Amino acid sequence: MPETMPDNRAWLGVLPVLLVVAFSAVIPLMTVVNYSVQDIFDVHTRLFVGFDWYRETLRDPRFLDALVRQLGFSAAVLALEVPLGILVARALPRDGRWVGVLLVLLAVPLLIPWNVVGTIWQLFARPDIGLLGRAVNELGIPFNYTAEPLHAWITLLMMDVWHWTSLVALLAFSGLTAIPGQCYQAAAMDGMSGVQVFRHVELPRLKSVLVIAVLLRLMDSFMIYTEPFVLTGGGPGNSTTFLSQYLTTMAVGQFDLGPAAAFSVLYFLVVLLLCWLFYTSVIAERGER
Amino acid sequence: MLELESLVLKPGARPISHRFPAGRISVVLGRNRSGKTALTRVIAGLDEPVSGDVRLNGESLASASPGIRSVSLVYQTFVNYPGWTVAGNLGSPLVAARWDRERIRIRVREIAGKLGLADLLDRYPDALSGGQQQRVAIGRALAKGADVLVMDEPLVNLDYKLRESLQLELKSLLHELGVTVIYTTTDPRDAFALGDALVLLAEHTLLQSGTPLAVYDRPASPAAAHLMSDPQANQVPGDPPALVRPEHLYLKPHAADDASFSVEVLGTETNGSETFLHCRPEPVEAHADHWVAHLSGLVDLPAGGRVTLYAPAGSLLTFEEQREAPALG
Repeated sequence: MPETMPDNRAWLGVLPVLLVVAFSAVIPLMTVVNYSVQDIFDVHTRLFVGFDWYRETLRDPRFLDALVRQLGFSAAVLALEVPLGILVARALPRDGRWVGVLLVLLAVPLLIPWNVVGTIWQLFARPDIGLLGRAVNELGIPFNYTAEPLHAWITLLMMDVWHWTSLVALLAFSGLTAIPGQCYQAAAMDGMSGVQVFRHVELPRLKSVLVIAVLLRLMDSFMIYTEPFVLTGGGPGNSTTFLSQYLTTMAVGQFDLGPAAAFSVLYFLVVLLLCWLFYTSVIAERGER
Repeated sequence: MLELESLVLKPGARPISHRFPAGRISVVLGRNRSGKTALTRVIAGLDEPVSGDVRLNGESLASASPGIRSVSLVYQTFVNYPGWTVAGNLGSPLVAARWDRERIRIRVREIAGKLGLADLLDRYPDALSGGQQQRVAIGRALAKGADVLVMDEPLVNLDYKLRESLQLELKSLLHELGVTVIYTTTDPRDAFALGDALVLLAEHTLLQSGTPLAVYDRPASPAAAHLMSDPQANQVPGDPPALVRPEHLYLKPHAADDASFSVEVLGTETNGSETFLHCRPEPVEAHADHWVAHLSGLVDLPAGGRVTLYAPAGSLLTFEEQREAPALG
């Protein structure tokens, strides 16, 4: 039988997908990469500067401060919302007619637009007219998130917990309902305590949904913009200025497109790196089995 | 010894009083939803009975929580701790009971050796086959060192060959350990393969109890006869009505006083060594329109043909009266 030439025309079938991906993802991203290595004066005057903008961004103390704040914020968000979400999910009844109602109530904060959430808390926590801020002050605890960095952080974290714990709770609840009742009964027969049941029966089976929950919250909290912008505008001082807000100031406020582009690429890489680190560490742990 | 005292499993069901012989395997045979699982759960302490009591060595278990009573339970699904290795799983009841580490290690080795799990101690349950997972679950139940081991259809999710080999292994292991076993099943063959004693359960109450052979030979009611027969016993029209088991029907007479039945052949199922003959007795009666004869060897009869089946006179099961099943002690 004569050897036939390999027919490569099938590759053409991939073309539409390639075009869609190119126009939706690669080309916009490359534009940013392109800007990040040039100094642009006007439409006709541009200068290739290599990695200068990256170097400058990485040496910029305001970028580094924002990055540290960002890491602290995301860490605090995860440390608060994941355990709290699991607690809420465990407290929910597994069946009965109230489950549906409770789940809808839980989902309500997730349906509120971010800027509305910011506005709600901006009003709620105001020391002069806000229910929360006024009440706390009346109790004799001075509280003013517009003046005190710590208070601003507390308000911001409370807001984020209020807004997003439901997501973790709903995910954890779905994981918990998938655990067969017999596993709980077996633990009861073994005489396990409540803590042991959580540690050895529930947690191993919640692992996969918790990975999703942590990844979602990590990415989202790392990109937080609207809520602190509405609540504090990044203040007092720069105490609640996170990466996204600093980036916006740079790109839209000062129109420093080169450094802003370098910033964007770095920002993207940091998020990617964190998610990758987290995910591979989880996978590695599974791989050991 | 485990005793049930006027135990009511479901509102309206007749109370059950029964003694499970100590150190023996009692098979509880019943169809789906006959109350087998309800019984195991009450004995394990996971559910409260409607009324009545469970006594272990003379003491009531009513106030003992599942973790405290000397009862362990094996489910039909393979229930293990996914985050623990086989060794961890086997030791889990001992960890909960706060044994020290060295004692747990020795105990786990001993149990693993008995169940053929010694080479798998470092594996996680999800890396085991179904049979191995169920061995781990059985090992966990044994590790607790309970006087009573309740097994709720433990082998039903395993494939046929594995089930048979594990069944034989279990029988000798359980006898060796001298633990009182309550083993539920829907399959009458399990009663003979495993059971020192047999309890028939229907509609959440006790139908009959005794040794498997005694229950097979002298069923107390048609329901008991049907339960101990697979496929179901055939109804012989007449007064009083009688039953004849599929395996007691032959194509040739053995004695002069054999009962004979003329039947119309509906079809045959054969696997070479045995044949199930589906047929209809004549004259046709509404309540007995389908019979099965369990014949040995390869039998091929054309559908629509007529044959005569014979049954030894002593094999016809008659019941003095259609009384309701007595709650035997």
